[in-house]
Amino acid sequence: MRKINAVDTILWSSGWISNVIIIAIIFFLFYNWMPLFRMVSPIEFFFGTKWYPTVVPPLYGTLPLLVATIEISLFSLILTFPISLVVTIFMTFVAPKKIRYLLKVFLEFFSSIPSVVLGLIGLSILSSYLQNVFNLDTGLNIFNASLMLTFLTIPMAASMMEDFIVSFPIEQVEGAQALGATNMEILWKVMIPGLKGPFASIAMLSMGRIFGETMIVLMVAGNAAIFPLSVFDPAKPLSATIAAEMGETAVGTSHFYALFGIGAIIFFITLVINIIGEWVRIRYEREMRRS
Amino acid sequence: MKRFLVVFFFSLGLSLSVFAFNLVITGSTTVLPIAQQWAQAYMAQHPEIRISVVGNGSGNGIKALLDGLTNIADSSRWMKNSEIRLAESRGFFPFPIVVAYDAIAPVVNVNNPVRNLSLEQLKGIYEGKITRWSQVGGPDMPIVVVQRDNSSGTHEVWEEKVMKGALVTARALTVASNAEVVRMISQNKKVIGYVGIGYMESSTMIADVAISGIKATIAAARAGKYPLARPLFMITRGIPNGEVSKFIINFGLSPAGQEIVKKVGFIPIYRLKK
Repeated sequence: MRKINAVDTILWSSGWISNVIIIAIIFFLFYNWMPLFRMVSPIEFFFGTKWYPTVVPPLYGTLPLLVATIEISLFSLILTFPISLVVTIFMTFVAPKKIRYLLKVFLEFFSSIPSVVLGLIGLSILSSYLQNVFNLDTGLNIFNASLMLTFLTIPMAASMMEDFIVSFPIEQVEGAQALGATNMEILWKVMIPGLKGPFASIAMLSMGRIFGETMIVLMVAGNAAIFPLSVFDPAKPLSATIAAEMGETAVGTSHFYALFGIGAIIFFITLVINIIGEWVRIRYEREMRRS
Repeated sequence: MKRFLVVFFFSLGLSLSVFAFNLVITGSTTVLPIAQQWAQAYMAQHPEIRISVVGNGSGNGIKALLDGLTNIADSSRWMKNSEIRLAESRGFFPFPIVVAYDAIAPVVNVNNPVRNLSLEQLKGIYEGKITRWSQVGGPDMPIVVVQRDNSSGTHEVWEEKVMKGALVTARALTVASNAEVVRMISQNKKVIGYVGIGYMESSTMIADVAISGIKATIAAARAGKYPLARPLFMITRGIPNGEVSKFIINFGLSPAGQEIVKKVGFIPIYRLKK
């Protein structure tokens, strides 16, 4: 048996403490959400179309907020995925070794840009640009927010894609080379079909990252609680609602509970997205081991 | 292990030193500049006193006061009935002191010629019933409505004095600070918004709109003629005494303190001698 010393105890207890804290957070979310349903019906909370928390009587319809979040996340994912793929392909197949190293460093540097800085760029540069170029009523809209979220997610998505391509089974690559395939043929006909699983998991994990991101959407989405019809409409996402309103909400009011409810919605959707992502990844790894 | 203990006690000491402040002020971001400048000037006069000033919203300030975590709560609104009842149930009576006045002014871009609106027109615009500038005597372009987030004190005053129970259109863009309203308006000709009087000088690209001919001026606000003026409070636990009363009453309400109020862009509670 291994000797148990002080370091072991510290590691063991910190592991368990973090578990307990996570469970406590979930409990806390529920504990502060449930009293809402004594005042508002669940149907109104989940399917109501008006978010007016400070009027009398207050209206807590979260549907437009949820739709806004989903729209922004999907649009941003649609932008993120192909761009990351192109970046990855360039890095692994096209760029010479020296530039490849530089690119990798640059990508890592890019991923360390805080989201508030990206928000600031969207707010002060991109918004007035969009306004003038497309003659919009406002440059703070879904398009702007999605674009900034895309910049936030590309480094993560691209570096994960690169990891998978680099660690692609060498036998399959060599087999294709033996059949006379070029690099591009190997990429399109062998690697990408073979990496469908991990790429799906990357998409899910990026989605999870985008979904809960707060600072950027708070700054550039425009925060108008409507059902956005085009990508140039403003929108009010779930996370931004909490950030904007929690500061001045009195504890124990229905508004306070409703904001915790929004937190719980984000938590569950992110959890489901991440579980699907992990599940896809694990299934793929098992398949690879079997073959 | 020894090293670990040293680090542990060092960090413990650091976290405890937070409690070494003589005065803690928490609350409204509107009142924050006043509280900060007062604290700086007061600490310069009394080097033995340490004051911590935090701006996290009126609601949070009052919450901290109720929980006994702060000596003074800054607030840009009256306390709510529920908050007063909670304070009483905890055995003290909150004591609000008016430290300054603030006036909220509707603002537009300087290139927008509209300079005068009635309260009814403002209400119509914010309700979404008036959607083009041409309907209120301006050029033919859509009106883009900007409001503060619905938990800011400024928004609450707007809702009470302009909207009078009507809903602000859901299409209104919502931003989190006065400075951001100013920034949006200075970039966009179609926008209307509202800011505290202290922010009107912060950009040359914005112009204030008079309400039925009355401009948001210090004199009009103090005389009660301007319809969108509000008092700013510092709230204490019970009647202030000791350092709290020295800070607010002996210093803040003195001409020196009120001079600071004027300097940071708010309206002093009495006319200052030249």
